[in-house]
Amino acid sequence: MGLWKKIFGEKKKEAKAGKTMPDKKLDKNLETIKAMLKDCDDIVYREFEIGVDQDYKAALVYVDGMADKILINNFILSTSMVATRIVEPTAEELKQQLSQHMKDHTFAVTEVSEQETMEDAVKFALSGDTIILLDNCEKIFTVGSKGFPARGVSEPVTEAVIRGPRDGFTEVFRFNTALIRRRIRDTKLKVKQMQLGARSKTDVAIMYIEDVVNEGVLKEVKRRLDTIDIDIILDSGYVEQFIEDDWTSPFPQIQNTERPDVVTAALYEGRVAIVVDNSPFVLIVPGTINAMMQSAEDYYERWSIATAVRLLRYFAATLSLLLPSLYVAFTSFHPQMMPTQLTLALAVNREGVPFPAIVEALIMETTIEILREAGVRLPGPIGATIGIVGGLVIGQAAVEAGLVAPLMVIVVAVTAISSFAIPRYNLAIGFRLLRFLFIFAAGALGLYGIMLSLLLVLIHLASLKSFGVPYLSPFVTFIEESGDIGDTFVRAPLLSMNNRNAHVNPNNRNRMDDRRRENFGDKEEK
Amino acid sequence: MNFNNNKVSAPQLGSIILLTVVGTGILTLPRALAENVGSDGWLLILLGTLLSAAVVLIHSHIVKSFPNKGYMEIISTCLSKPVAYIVVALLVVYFIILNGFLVRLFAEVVKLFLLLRTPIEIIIFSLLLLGAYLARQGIETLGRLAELLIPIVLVPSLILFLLSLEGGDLGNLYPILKTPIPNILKEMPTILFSFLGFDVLLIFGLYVNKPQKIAKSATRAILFIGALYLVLNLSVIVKFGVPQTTHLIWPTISLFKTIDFPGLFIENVEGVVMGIWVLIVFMSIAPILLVKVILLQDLFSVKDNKCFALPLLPPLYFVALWGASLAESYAYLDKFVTYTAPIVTLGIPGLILIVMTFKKKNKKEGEPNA
Repeated sequence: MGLWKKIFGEKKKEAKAGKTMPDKKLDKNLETIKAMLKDCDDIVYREFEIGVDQDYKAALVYVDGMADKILINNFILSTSMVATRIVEPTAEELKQQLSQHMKDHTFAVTEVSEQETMEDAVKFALSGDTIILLDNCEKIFTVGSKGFPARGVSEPVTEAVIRGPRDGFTEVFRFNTALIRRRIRDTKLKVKQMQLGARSKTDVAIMYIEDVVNEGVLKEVKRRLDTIDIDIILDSGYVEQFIEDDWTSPFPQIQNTERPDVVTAALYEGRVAIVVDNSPFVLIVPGTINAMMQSAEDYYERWSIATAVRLLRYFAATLSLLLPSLYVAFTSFHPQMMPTQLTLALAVNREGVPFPAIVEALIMETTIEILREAGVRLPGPIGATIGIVGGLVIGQAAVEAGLVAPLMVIVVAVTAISSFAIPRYNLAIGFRLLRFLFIFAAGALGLYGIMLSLLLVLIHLASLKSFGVPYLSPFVTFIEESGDIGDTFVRAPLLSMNNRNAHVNPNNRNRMDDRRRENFGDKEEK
Repeated sequence: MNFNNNKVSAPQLGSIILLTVVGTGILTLPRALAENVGSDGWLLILLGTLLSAAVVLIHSHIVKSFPNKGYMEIISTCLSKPVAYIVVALLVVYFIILNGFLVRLFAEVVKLFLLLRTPIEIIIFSLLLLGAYLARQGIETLGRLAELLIPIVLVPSLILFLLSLEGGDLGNLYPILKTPIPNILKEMPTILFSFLGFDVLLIFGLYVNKPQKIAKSATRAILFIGALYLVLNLSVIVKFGVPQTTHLIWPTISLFKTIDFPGLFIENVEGVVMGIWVLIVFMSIAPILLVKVILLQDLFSVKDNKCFALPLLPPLYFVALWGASLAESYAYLDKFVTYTAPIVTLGIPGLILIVMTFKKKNKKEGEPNA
């Protein structure tokens, strides 16, 4: 490219640094592209001629497999090769405007754009579009012809619901923004696109509702995304790790979801969604622990049921964090603190177990973590078998061998199941990691150790902020903004959720007018 | 929106005050009151609450009158700079001693009820380390943690109080108003000791995002504490009667230990009580640690105060292990508090208030002439 720039770089006044401007000659341009895409055997170059006398040379370039061949054949090639022979721009002035003519009258496709530099054009081709080069024309056209293999919209695996929509995001960026847009016929839904990754040029979109979004968060999202400087972005997980507030924390500070309805709801809470190409997980900021403890279904079921389920979920989260350590603390430090009957039962239960409780707990907890990890990697049917073999057979055998107490097996099983009741996998895994800290603390200092570790975790959680919003909101602002409690471990009736959550600090808090009185008479009076 | 604003809301400050004060007084208050005024403790608590609320109003007035000024700046404005240096340095020492003794008391309780065979040094040290961690995180984290812990601490406590009512004798409350009034006034320091800790307001006031709301939140916190003490005192007296209460070392814990509902599987709530207890006491020790860190920051006028958290631990540790026994530590603390606490909570702020009013008057008188 250096030679090219040496010869023509000075001539082009508007030439951008390091970019190649298109030349008038088709052959030159084609050569440039071929030089750029040297040794890329999956590129198709098709040269053809247009016009009545076939005296205008043209060429198109696309990546085989990425572009839609039917579209190229029917609406670019056939129109330019066949149709231009019937109606030819003969007039001299039309010849001068061949490119404009081609664009306006010949390419029967929706997305046609002109590119200023060769690099830009090649970038489009590499994302599945088609480059069209015309002789005697300094413009380069790209035609939207993306037609790469993609997985269809299917049910989200990690966030299944019993009631609610079944569509989930896929790996295709455009499908994902469409799935969100399809739910919101609102001109205020904005989609700002950019490309991240110096080499991968991955499409990333920031989506928000213009008059609802928390503008501080929006600005910060843009700022942080601009700081990303990496060669390739493979998944939204990359983006997440670059823009999160505290990378040392075991807790995820950015929510991710496979469900378009969750994103939509978040957008109307004043949050910002980040869609990343090649990832079925859309990021939602700011993330709060409260939002991550919710499931989409909570809003589709009646409020009393949803409230009960949420309380259960918080209870399960506490269990998954504390249960094994409580077992260790009470059996080895404070047997006097349990009811007498239970103490006696436990003593009988643990008779003959050769280890202290902490070793017992560590053995079983490690085993179950190994089983879980093995189960994730194995294909479905085998995974289920591993669960049964691990859970039942190993547990039973360990008890019969006298290595662990039966109660320990129950504790471990309940803990494991509880951790799966947390709706977000990445949050649950944080809890699971911390569980070991608690077990060690309980083994060292009993209940006091557990409380100190709990305080440690709470201090850490209280210190966390996600894009300026405290991670523990609204629990840490509930005195001032008591309305937010209606969407935490309880789920208030939809009728009474008139305001958007204050802790996200949306631009506009009003969701709807309170019509309980008009619609339901005095029955529902506040 | 500020991303790291180092500010707390007024309710968060109220929560900090509530937890700081409650942790100090709740342990021994009923015994001290029963010893000194018999069954008339409730009257003393009422008086103490009103007095503390009044002092809190003075404190919030001072903080409000000096927006964007730290305590040290307030003192140096009113009482000149050298005085400010001396006062703040002494304040740091005062808080170290107060905090150290509290840590000791707390550690003794933990040792007695939870970790009989663990050396007390380990209990103290682990607590101090955690406190330093919180102090390093700053006031914002402290404020949020306090507000988060309020329901976590209060809801189970209230349930425990309800449960403990079973089997009490209301007759224990009699005789009413038997203590002569001079005796009641003489015992005011005891009750004020139970309210000690609200002076954190003077130092934290700078960091409140809406200073005009401080007075309301702080007074609310004090009234709430008063109500809590009242319930506690009445429950203990109803349950045990005055003579027995005077012989309990930790009447509050004894009260909860009596809870027994075998049918409901609530036979032994000691675990719950001790759990909450650790939370409460930690939250009364950690804010004072942060107060010291902030004071030291003012004293050395540096921007970052994180570096002060850890160096504070050795003196604290030393003070905590000062007394050979619990009784000795208690005696030291009692003496120390009786002499110094009134100066810190009333003397210095009172002086500031006087200077403030004089300056205002001077200004008003001076203005027409100028």
